[in-house]
Amino acid sequence: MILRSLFAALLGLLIGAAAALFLVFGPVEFGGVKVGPWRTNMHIGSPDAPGIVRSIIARRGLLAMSREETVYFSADADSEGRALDEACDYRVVFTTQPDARWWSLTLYAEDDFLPVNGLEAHSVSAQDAGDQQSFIVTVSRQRAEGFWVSPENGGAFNLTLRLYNPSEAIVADPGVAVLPTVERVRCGGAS
Amino acid sequence: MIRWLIPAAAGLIGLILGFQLMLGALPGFIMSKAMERFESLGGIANEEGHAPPIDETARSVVRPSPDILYSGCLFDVSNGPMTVTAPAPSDGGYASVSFFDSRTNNFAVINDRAVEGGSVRIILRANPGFDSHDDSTGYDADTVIMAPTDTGLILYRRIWADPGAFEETDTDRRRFDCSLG
Repeated sequence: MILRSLFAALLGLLIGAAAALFLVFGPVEFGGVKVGPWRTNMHIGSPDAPGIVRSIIARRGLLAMSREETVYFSADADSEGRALDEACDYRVVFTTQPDARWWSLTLYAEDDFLPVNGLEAHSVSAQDAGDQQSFIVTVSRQRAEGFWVSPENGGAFNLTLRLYNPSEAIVADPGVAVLPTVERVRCGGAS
Repeated sequence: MIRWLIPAAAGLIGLILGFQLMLGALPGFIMSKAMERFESLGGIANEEGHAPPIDETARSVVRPSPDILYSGCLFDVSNGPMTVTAPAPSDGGYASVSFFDSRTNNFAVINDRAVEGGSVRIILRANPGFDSHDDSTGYDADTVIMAPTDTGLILYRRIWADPGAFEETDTDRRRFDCSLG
């Protein structure tokens, strides 16, 4: 029985470690605050983050600042919950600029780095928007007029919206942020 | 029945232990890999480095921002404090210096709004522990920060969104400095 117990403990140890690795490195998203297709976690950069959250943040948002300084929203699906796909075109529709001192919208490939496509169309920022409050950012492999980011070679890409020095209301509750919708326009020629 | 209960309990304890141990180890492991990458790119402990503008070839840290110029340094305050000088942008744009311990915690951030004059001078020192007298006076600095761990990483972020102003912005951010003492 001792041998059997030792074997069971060892097996449990391995399964437990594997489960932790799957949760951190696998395609799993949980917890946090949701605003439409956008998600953020209150514990980013915080020393009081629970173990699983801290590990996921270390993998996907290493060196991110605490939310008092910057709130990071990310979206890996459109406003109807369909996973973002480089084969599709999207419109990111801002009805107002995010309530922060400065913001940027950046497209990352599914490996969480900038997609390699030679187009240098990875982001749009407050500087680009200027005084405009209502505007659209086109996400498409084909070059578009106006604000445009390209998902080419991004696979199941994701979007990150950084709010630097966000308003006090957003720091207290990121759920109150007014953020753009992400609308799928067409996929492979079909709408 | 006890023949199976004891192994089952041992398995369950092993499962929980394995899960918690792995979660406890991962942030430190991921951070150490990031620090190794920083060193492989020429980064030296207690000395600043200035990353080139972020483009699609940047592969050191996930989700780099192409709108930001990054400078940074690895710190090791085990043998004494470190002095960090962070410039405030002359154009009024956003900049910040953030401090990360060896377990990825962002234990301090200072941004340009907190800077009076052209730059802020920060002393980073080892945490004396709970049983030592915490004396942060006597330093020639605007602020003194205690590091929860002896090693870690400091990152200076400077917004760079106007391609036409790159040279001026780049020159300005290179005033970011880390040095022992």
